[in-house]
Amino acid sequence: MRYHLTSGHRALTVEATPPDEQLTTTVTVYSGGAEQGAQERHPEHLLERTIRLEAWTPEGIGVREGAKVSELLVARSAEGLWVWCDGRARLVRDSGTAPLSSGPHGAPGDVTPPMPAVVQEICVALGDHVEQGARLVVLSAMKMETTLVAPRPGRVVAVNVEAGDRVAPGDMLVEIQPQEAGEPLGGENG
Amino acid sequence: MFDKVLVANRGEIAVRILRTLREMGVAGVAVHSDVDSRALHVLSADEAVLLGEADPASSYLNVERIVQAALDTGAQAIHPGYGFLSENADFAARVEEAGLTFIGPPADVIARLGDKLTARRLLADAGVAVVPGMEVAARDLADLARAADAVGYPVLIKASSGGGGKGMRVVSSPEELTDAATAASSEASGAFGDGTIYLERYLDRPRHVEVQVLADSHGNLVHLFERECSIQRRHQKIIEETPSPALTPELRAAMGEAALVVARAAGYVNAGTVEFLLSPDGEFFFLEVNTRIQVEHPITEVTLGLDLVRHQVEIAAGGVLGLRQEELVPRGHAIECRIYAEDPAAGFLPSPGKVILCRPASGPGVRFDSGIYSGVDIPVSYDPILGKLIVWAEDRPAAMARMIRALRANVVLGVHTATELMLDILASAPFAEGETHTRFVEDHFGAWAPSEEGDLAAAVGYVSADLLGLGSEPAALGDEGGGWPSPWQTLGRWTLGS
Amino acid sequence: MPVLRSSVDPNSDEYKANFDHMAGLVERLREELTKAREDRSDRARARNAELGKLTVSERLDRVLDRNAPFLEIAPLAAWNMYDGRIHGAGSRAGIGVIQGREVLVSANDPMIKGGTIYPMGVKKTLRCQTIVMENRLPAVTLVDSGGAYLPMQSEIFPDIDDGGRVFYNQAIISKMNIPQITAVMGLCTAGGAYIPAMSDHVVHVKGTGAIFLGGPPLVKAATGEEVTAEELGGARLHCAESGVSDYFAEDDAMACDIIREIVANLPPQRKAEVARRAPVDPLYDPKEIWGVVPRSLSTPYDIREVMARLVDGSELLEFKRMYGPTLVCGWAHIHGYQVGILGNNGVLFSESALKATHFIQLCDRQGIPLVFLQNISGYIIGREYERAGITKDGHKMVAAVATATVPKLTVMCGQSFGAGNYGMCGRAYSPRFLWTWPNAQIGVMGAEEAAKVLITVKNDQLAREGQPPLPPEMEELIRGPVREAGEKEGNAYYSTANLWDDGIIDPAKTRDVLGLALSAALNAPLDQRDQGHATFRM
Repeated sequence: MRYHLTSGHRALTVEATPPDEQLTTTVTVYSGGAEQGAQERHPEHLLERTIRLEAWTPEGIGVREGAKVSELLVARSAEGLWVWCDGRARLVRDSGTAPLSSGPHGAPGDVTPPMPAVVQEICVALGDHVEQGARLVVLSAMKMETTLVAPRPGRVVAVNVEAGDRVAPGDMLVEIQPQEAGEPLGGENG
Repeated sequence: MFDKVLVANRGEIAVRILRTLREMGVAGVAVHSDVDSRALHVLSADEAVLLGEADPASSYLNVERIVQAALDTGAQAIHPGYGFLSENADFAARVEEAGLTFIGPPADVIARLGDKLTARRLLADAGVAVVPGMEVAARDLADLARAADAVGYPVLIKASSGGGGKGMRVVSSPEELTDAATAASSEASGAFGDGTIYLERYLDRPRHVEVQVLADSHGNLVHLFERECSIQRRHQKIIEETPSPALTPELRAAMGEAALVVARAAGYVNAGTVEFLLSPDGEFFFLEVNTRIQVEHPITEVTLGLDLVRHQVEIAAGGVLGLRQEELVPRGHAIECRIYAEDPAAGFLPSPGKVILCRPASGPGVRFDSGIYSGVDIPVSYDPILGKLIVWAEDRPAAMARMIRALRANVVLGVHTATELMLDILASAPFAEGETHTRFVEDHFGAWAPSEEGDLAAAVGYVSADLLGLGSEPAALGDEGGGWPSPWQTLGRWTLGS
Repeated sequence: MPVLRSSVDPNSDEYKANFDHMAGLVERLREELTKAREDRSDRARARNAELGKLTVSERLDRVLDRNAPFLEIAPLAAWNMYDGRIHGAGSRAGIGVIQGREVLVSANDPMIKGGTIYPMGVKKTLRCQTIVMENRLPAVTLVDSGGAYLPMQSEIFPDIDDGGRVFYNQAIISKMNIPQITAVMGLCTAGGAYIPAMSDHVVHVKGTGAIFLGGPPLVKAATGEEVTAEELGGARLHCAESGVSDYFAEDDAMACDIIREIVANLPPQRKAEVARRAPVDPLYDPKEIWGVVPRSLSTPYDIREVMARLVDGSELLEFKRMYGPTLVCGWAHIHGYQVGILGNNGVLFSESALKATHFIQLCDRQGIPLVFLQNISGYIIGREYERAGITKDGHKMVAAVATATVPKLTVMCGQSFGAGNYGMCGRAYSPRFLWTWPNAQIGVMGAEEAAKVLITVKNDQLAREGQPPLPPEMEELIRGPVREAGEKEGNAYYSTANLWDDGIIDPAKTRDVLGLALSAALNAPLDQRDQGHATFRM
């Protein structure tokens, strides 16, 4: 079976042979994700292990490699599977399974909080012209303040929140219409 | 002794205080906000009172509701923990006025020391060295700018009634001053209800060393030695240890003595911490007094075999401190790692969410003081501390090895933590050599990123879990009426023959 | 809602014996399913690997969301037919989830006789297309087939339910605006070439996938031209030159990834709205059905004991509980979906038939899906009942079932004899899905009754001719073969082999199967349903 995973911030492709009756499988990890296409394009594998798996507890997996033994712990969340391995925790996402949330988490340039937060202050009003980097919204999460700034110069066309609102990643707090470009892009090239 | 004590706090410290109360046979009353109704501190108490909504002003900073809760439940005393109202003199006064006991120093002592500027003047008069800086609060930006020019950049803006890095900003040039001051003031007023700020010279790469003191109301006073708290990020400590690898016996004695001078000058009662900055050449400056129990108090407890919270309660009840300075001899070495819900790969941004799995480390010399359990939500409204992992061993190398062992086994999944970073710090040469200072993380781990090895191991882990049918994600489907999931989402990997 | 209370004692000897008996049947089912999935010749496996192809299981695994169920359709079709190794009639098919979307996936198995199509294979394909049309599920087809199994071509080719109908249906499905996505992962020769050609999206795998009306041997025979399959109908040709295919894939895995992308880009599906509640488990473990169902089909049992192990919270609001008690009707929820559920508690009398008619009409008018639990030996017979018009009451029930347009799901839980099969929504009554328990028996009547009827008819004939009735040993000569045929042809495996159902299921999985099917069925709108009914003979 082939998996396209994101572990931490790293895109990885993993090949696993179907487990035999003892649940022994050979797992090979390659760098790069689904966009890389076929496995032949990244023949250099990063890791290959033949391991025997045992389900120990509802969240614990015993991994045997010869006489070597180690434990993995996993926990499912809406964003992916959390894996604990010897003090290192990673959120692993699988492109072979559909994400639970449908909306994209904020395209670059969107004014959306990086984490769930409470709106502390709105620094702009509808119709304001803002420069790139201008303070738009001050958020407070876990008693830390974060300021969202304008991703580009433009005009404020919507302010969707008020001070005191609870907001989450993906919420568009302020919408900015980019400044009119002076010249149309492209054009005839005879 | 009190029959019943209310703990005006949440999270790991509330749990820790309630544990001691239970050991003392004193009933414990928890208070909580609506989002904390199933928090561990509520589950650890004998009685629990809902204060209000999540925002701190409605709950854990709501003085009248807390006092009323104590009166309603018949508690005789209030323990404030750290943060929230712990260093709020008005609160301490209000508690006493209601006929209750505040477990901490008297209100006037808190007021004197809590206002860092007053404290600086007081201690300078008592002959303790202080960091050069403003003697009075900034009236306006111009005032601040003048003072900054006088002490010389870089300067450190601090909240007058601050702590825990809140309302603190380093400013390296005049251009940055306005924004930093505005942000610091707003953050301080949000966190402490007081936006007053001041500044002092920013010392480069000092160590942060503090001394624990304990005083009763009968004039008995001891210090409980130092804690080295230099390893910080965002001006917040993450790794603390005692004894400090930087102190000679002479320096230790001198700092202990200085702490006693400070405590005496302030008329201190109960547990407090005198913080110093220690320059690379062994000079130390008074920084401030924290008039409350500290986050990192357990490392003092385990090296001295004391329960500081029990002493706090006994002192507040009018008890006589039985400890004699000459009998106090620290044993071995202790280290604490703070486990926050934060993402070190993303600038230590808080990482709220649900702790899906929590399996604390255990074994010889290991203690995990926490406010979490598997399935608990970490609300956005509060400090993201999850718990503290504390180890004790006979000497520093043994303690380091023990902490590494414990961190590897201290499973917290569902939110990001800095566990891997702290493992790397513990295993690093600068740490082993005791070269700890407040810029340690920036200097040595500024470019730190989670290891590729960890990514690969996790990928193998994911595949293993998938092959065993463990922990796969629920599938997504288009919206179904009523928002209830379809069995295509809930049954997971399912076949006729499985 | 009222909660069903079980009166079955899980510690009783009877329960344990039943449980062990059903456990044996389920174990055998598992073995058969595994065999159908795994039993391939070494030669075929080697050939597949040599060509760099994934196996069918791997292809399905790759194309489907791994974290979602796969409800396989007719995995034991053609069981024991032909040479006994045309497992699943040479293909695997089922409903699964791709990128969060319920789809029907079918895939030829090239390791079974090169993926050639047997008569039952055509029947399975047509069944899958019916599911696609009735439930408006996107169809994903992974083609890898050598074409018709020529020795049986006459049984495959011309009739209304033969091979040609597959392409006719593809056109109709396309007209219905149901997406059809086909991956060419092997040969698509002659008629087979139309499977991709009639699809909306065609993914073509380099090296192994080929589409042509005449293959290299035929070309050589006809014109003398010598070409390879790749030159004649390979991915590059069809993606770059002919335009027959739309997406170029380096290998099977990439083709599966492309299909996932295509499905992800389909317009969103609005499912039909039916009453939903939060799904809750039944109070009783569904596996206890094993101990509830008696070992012998002729031992009666209370179908409520099964319902208590199928429906959410074991809650059932019974309709006309005191009237026509041999049929239990009521409202319940399965995995949160409201259903009207009907189950037999004995022979159907006039009252039970009228009750069923009333209940089915109510459900149909209110848009509530129907679930039929069949354990029926038939409608009551005898002079008194004929006089009271059992036939016309039976007719009402049959007509109501036939004309109801809400999703209908049927489970064969035991006996299924005579017109009872019809009234309780047998295969001919177009339930959206029909499953069989491994203990079920289907027939015009039970084998024993059939033998008795034959002997009675014979004795009547002898009596007319003035001869003595048959001696017991002669009776046995008649009874033996009838019983044998009844048992062989009436059992669940014979039924599933002939695609009289969508599969044999473990009774303990009935709840999940029904829940999955209900969710899948709601991809088709309910609002087109025809509210008219047949004229009822009163």
